[in-house]
Amino acid sequence: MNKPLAAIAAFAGLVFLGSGAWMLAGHFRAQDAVLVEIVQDGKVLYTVDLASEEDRSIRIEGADSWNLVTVRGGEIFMEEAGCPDQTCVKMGVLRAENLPIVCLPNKLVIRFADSQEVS
Amino acid sequence: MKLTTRRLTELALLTAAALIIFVIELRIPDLVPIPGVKLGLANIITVYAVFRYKPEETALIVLCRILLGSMFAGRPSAILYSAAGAALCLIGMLAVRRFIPPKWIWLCSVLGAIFHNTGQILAAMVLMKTAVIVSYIPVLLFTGCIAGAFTGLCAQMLVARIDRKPPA
Amino acid sequence: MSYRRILPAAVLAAVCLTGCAKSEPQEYSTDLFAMDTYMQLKVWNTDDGASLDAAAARIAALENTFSVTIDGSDIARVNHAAGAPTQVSEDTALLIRKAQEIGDASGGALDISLYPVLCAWGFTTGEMHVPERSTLDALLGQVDYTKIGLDGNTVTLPADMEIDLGALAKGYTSDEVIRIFRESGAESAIVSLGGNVQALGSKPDGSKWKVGIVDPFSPSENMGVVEIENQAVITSGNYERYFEENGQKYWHILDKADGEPADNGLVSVTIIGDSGLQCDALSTALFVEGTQDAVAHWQRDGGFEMLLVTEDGRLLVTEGIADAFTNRSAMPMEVISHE
Repeated sequence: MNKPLAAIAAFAGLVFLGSGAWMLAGHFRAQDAVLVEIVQDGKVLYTVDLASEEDRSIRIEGADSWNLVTVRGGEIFMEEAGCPDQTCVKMGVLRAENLPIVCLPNKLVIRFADSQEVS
Repeated sequence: MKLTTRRLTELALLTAAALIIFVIELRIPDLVPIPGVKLGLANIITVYAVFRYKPEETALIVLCRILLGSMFAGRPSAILYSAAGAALCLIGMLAVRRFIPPKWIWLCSVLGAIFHNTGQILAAMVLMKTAVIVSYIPVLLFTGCIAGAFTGLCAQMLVARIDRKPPA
Repeated sequence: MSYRRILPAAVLAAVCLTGCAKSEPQEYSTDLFAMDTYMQLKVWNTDDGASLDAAAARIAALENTFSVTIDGSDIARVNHAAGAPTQVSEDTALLIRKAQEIGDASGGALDISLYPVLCAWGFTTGEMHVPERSTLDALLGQVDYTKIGLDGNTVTLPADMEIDLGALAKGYTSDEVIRIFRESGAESAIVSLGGNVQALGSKPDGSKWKVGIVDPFSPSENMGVVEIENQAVITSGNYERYFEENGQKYWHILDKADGEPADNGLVSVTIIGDSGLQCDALSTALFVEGTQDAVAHWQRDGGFEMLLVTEDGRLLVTEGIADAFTNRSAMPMEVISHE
């Protein structure tokens, strides 16, 4: 085996093993990430990863109303709302890609980040 | 630089063969449902040509295959990705060709595959302007190495079986 | 022959051939708040998003036409005309005509003149409460959609009546959005207007759209998925807008028999059909009609498919859509057929 050939072989071997290891590492990370967006009037205010996010509450003010969004135990839901009808609070925990939690008075939407169409 | 009718016919035949392989591969369901991950069987012809034809002749085959292939596939917009990948792949393989003994052609093909996928990723980064592609890099490179070794092995057998003088 | 002669020819030929090929559609999407709901639009087109902008503009225009609360809208002018004939747009006339047609077909289950009763419940303001029986009785005396006069584009409404098109406006709007997309040359689009879904064509990869159907007993989850193309999937349910008082649940779909929330055995009605307008109106009408009459209505008129969920946890699916529906709920699916 000549020298350049050995170098080529070493390079290819390194890329092969390196990308393999990277892929495995990325696979375990990507599998767990559950990205959720909190959007107000078309602007993404927060992106949280439910898999790693600490339990916390975020208060979001709007022109006419306010909301208290809570992340707890890997789930996200609207804990309180300043509007009279409380539709978003009754919706409960965010579960389905086609069923975002929506607060109409505050134009606030909690949805999965990579939502696939309506399906 | 002369191109004889005989030579032109040979190149045309190789291009046609590559296109046929390419079209047949389109019909095979994806083994892995990730865009960009495929065997790339048509590269058998490219690798073969690298070792049996002049660089400019090989480039002509690849150019025609990409232009026609992207139309046969019905996705002319994908041409930039294939062109970027193929150009880098060809440059890489031609650069190392003189160090490669006949038994190691498959390794040359692996190197070509790595360059090919690198070219595709670069094109995607420029065109799509997003960092999401970064997560594709390992899977493209990893599967590319395997696919490259396979197509390279096929080409290696072709080179061994078809008795033809290497390019001057 | 030399490369110098061959190469330009090859490149020219290839470029010409490529030029003939159609450029690939890109995905354009937007979401917006209109008509008291959250809307998501997505279209695959080759027009730099022009059709998406046109659709958003059309939605805004229709909201300004149909809204009960926006001053100067067709409906506001009709309601405040004090009995005088009012000139309205083609769109409004079309919706009123459809409301009368579905009202007749459902034995009056759909009645767009229930609006004053809806106001008494507070559903229009969000300040919901149970009204006095006497209030309801007094208001119900003025509920009768057959008294709405419609001649061409002229509407005449008795002075003490008020109408709203809430049961039809979103369905018509999704029809219009899909029409705009189709006429712009798009072959693939999906819109969701507050959960009312309508599709143009199939997905860009040729497969059917998968539309989740809300589980009325757990509204943050789907009870199943229906696969469609070129159709609308529109649901009316008792979970959409409701309030609770003294442990009792009250929802926004009212029955003009007593002015109370329609409670005739159904908790959710999903209509699947070609026209969003038709589906929207039918979903409300059939919800009010109740289980038996809804099934009878479908068997009699047809032209649409449906999924019914009853308050006692039965899932009834018409035979035309049963194969396209994947049931993910614990409820067994009962297929209903034409006799």
